[in-house]
Amino acid sequence: MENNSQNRIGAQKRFAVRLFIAGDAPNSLIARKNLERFQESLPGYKFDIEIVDVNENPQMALQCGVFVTPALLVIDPSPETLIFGNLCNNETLRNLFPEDV
Amino acid sequence: MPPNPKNPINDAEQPDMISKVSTGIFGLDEVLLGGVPAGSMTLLSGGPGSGKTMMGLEFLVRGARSGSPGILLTFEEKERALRKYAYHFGWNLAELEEQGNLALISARIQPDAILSGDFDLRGILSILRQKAADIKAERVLIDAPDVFLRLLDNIAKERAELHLLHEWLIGEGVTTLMTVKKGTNSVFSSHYEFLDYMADCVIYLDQRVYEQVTTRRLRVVKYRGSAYGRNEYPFGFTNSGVCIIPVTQTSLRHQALGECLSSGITTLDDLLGGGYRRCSCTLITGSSGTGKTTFACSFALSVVAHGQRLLYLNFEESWDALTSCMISPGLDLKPAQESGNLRFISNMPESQGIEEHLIQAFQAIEKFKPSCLIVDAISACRRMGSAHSAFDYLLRLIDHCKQRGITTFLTNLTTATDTSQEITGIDLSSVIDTVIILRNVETDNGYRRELGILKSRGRRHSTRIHQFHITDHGIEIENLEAPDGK
Repeated sequence: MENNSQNRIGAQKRFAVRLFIAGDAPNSLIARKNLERFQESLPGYKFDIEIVDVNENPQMALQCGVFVTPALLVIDPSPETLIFGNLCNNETLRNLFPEDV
Repeated sequence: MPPNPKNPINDAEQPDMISKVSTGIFGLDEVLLGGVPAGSMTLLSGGPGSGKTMMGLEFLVRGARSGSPGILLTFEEKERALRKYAYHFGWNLAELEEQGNLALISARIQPDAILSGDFDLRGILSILRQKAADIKAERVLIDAPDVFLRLLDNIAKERAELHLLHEWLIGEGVTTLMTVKKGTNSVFSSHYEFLDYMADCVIYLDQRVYEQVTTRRLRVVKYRGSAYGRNEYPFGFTNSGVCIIPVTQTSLRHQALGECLSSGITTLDDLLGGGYRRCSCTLITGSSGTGKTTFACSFALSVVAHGQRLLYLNFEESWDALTSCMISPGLDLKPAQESGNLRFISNMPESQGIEEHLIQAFQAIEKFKPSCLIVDAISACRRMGSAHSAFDYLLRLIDHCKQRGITTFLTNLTTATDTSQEITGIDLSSVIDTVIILRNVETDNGYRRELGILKSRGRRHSTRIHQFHITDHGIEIENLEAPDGK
């Protein structure tokens, strides 16, 4: 618990995510756009984005429990959180950063 | 159809023929006249506890064991739970996985997952695609997709996603079973009704309670391009899987009546023109206290004395009660049981549905391999639910026995209101070969026991009423004459 709060309000302001997409499927493209937009809206953060195409790496999808696409695995801030959907709702992401609300 | 050399395209593709995949599930291939449609989707639809998942799992296990690899994709169950259920039926899923003949994918969405905007099923499709390629899957079971689709929270999208999945499965050429919940809630049912139209074959599974007895029924609703058994069939679970009990092509496979077996009463053998014929079905009917069970036990002892095996299904009394009652007429059943040639099963009829009673009887027949079977008394079988349940049970049991050359002997308790015309009260007369009627006739100084043979197929038999006595050394029949038909 202490670790969590340290990470969330820590000085580093790091944001590490893994975005699972399915090739050029419409929702996958929208999710990439929405994630970029979210990144731009938070200039003070260091973004660490890994993009995984489930068509090429289904094993990773299985490991992470990603059965629908697009899906965003938020690694940092911890705890790991999985968000399904094209991220059209910025509030969902923003809520992971208490000090920005 | 003879091959037509002038039309090679037709020959190569055989577009008119539906090819089928044997499910390996006991009785199901018989109902489906061969199996489920190859390379397309079959729907298993039913309410909670109707056995959808287990039937689907058996389809995969039977396939995996015969070298046809399969994938189980479940949206509802944990892998560990599935392994446990499977183990209950003696299926070792881990072993089949190691052999590369089975893959389990548990796609349970974490209940705390966050949703933000639209998504689709491509993630699971890519996982499926990889597994299918890995093990060269020929069979797929999609279990409870509704759990997953409900996440979409939009009926139109759910349909679109299911169509996508369906298209992909068809494209892969795998034979698919999909389980779908069919609730009593009409909103929920209509939600997934379109699946019934999408699939090529639809099977409804049903668990119902009738007169406080739970029974399971299976019905094929549709099968594109194929005929199928159109009735409702009882089914249940044995210790090795699902067991569906269709009535087979009635009596076509019944063995012919054979030589005579002694009834255990020499005088009765004479009246019957030799005794009970092998593979025949004899019914002995009468009101309470007319001696039906004594006739049954005389036959049982005679069978065992001839070194053959007899299975005694009793729905009215326990082994101890029966053996002590039979001491008075001089019939000692204990040595027969100790010899290993008499097996006794006692059950309350209402303890289980007819499918479970049938499975129990079939398993006992399979294991014990009796040459004769006694059911005492078929009138009690009504308590399995209704007169119709009793009919279903007995027809299937007798059918099973007649196919295997087993001689059956039924007792029936009639009530005072039954007319003598109504032999069984359960309308079984077409499968019964011999009918013996017992009655107690009131006289000036008591009751007189009487016996008559109403019918005996393929034998000349006495048509007279004979008086008999139950003595301390069995049954004795008076007034004997040759079976002259008068």
